[in-house]
Amino acid sequence: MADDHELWERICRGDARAFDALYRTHAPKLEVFLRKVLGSRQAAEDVMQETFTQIWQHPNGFEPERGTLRAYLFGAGRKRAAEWWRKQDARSTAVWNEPAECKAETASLVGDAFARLPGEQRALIWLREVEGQSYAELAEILEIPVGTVRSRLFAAREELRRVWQAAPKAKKGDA
Amino acid sequence: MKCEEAAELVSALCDGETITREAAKHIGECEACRARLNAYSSVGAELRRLASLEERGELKAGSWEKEQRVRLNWWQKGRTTMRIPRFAFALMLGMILLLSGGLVLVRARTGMGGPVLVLTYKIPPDGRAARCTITTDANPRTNHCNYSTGGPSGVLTVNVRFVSKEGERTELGVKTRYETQARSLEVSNTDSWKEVPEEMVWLEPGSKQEISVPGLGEVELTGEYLDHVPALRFRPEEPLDPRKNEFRIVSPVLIRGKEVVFNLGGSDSTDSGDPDATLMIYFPGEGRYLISTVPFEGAVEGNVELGQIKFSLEGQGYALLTAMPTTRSEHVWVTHEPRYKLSEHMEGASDGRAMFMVRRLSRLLEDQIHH
Repeated sequence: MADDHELWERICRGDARAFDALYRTHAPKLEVFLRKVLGSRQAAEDVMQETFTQIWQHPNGFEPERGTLRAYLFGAGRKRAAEWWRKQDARSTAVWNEPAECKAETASLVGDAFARLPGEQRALIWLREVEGQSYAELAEILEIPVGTVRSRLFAAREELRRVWQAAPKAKKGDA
Repeated sequence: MKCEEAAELVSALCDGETITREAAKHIGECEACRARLNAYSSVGAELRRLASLEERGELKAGSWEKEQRVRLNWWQKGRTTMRIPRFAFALMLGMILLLSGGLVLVRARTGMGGPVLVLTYKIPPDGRAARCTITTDANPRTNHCNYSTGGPSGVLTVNVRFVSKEGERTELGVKTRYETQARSLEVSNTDSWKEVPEEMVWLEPGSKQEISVPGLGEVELTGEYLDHVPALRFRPEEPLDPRKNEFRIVSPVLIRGKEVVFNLGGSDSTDSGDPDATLMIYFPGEGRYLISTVPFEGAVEGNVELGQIKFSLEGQGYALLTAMPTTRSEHVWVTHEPRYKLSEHMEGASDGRAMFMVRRLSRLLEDQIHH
């Protein structure tokens, strides 16, 4: 937390090297997360760049006493992703809720089921299971009370389990 | 302890949270809960495995860096190469802004008296106003309107169509019907309207026309032009925020997973002020969806965020997008009846035609839906 505070102060002073360190540390994971939420590699890259650009130009949203810089970044990315969805033409099936890109060799039944979850549940499960974000961080990123995180995670896991187990049995061996 | 009570704690256990002694004992002894625990753990591990395989391209240089450089260079270059005094440059900028402002004003004035006609009916005996909007062109989708509203002891329906336009005057074909007993909803263009005589009227801004409606009295009709079709054709003066207990819907698009289920035009909203405002959407092949601001039997809870309503049904995520905020409520309750046939519940309705309406929940749950 102390490191976050110091790094943030340098960024606020316009220290490009500090910002570059932030970018190199968090951009790769943020981009993968956005890819899962947006379902498009190009969109994820664009949203990730916009997120960092916005922070560099207006470094005024992070409050170190409220949480980590990582949680702040993922929260900012999530909001940008939500804006991206809003701007899309809802009539286009090509961009709406498109399942995450998945190469043949990495495809799995769990991956398929995960891609079919609503965006918010995908985000929540990914941040918890893959990024290992704490309940407090998830509360900050998703802007919900900490007490709600547990119930939402349960609902998301239950939905994923249900979709996964409802998949055709012949395909289960693929996992 | 029952499995349903322990289920959320199984999820918490996966997150490294401590749980109650009673729950821990139950999970240790219950086969179903252990299976759930194993499923949650396996899914987490599989997602982490997939994440490890995720292709991570080379990190590109941040666009923020380039943008800043470009912006500074442009300004610096401008300042260093400026050949006129800076106060003259500032004066020139001011003049440009002033002149462009004038151009905008001129454009706005010529846009007045546009191709869209907002009609206002004053309904006897109390002169209550009702509105609808038509375009004064050949577009068959928008150049007519069919409006129904409650009178003192019955329902008034007004059907207006655009006929022609001469300068500021517009010729309209008007059909009216007042029925003292509530009838089932009738969709516009049904055969029953053919029997109603049409009255031709010329309308221009500032003038009034009186239309005699048997059984009701004189309906006063006025009109004014707009340069655009308002989002709510029947309430052009409506603010963006919904009123208390209001539920309104404008051009809804329903998305299920990645599939667009339907994309409809038009709008409707409640004006009763009752707290159980409910949207009913019927679409051929889909049956009907009820989306209510109050819980009701068999309904699942959904979330509202301005013009988006999200919910999960039958294992799939849905998003209903509309062009305006729908309700002040943050939650709605939703059912889907895929086998619902509109013709069995609404006189004169066709199963092959999409429609939506907002009414009280109790009325939409009746076997026969009336006005």
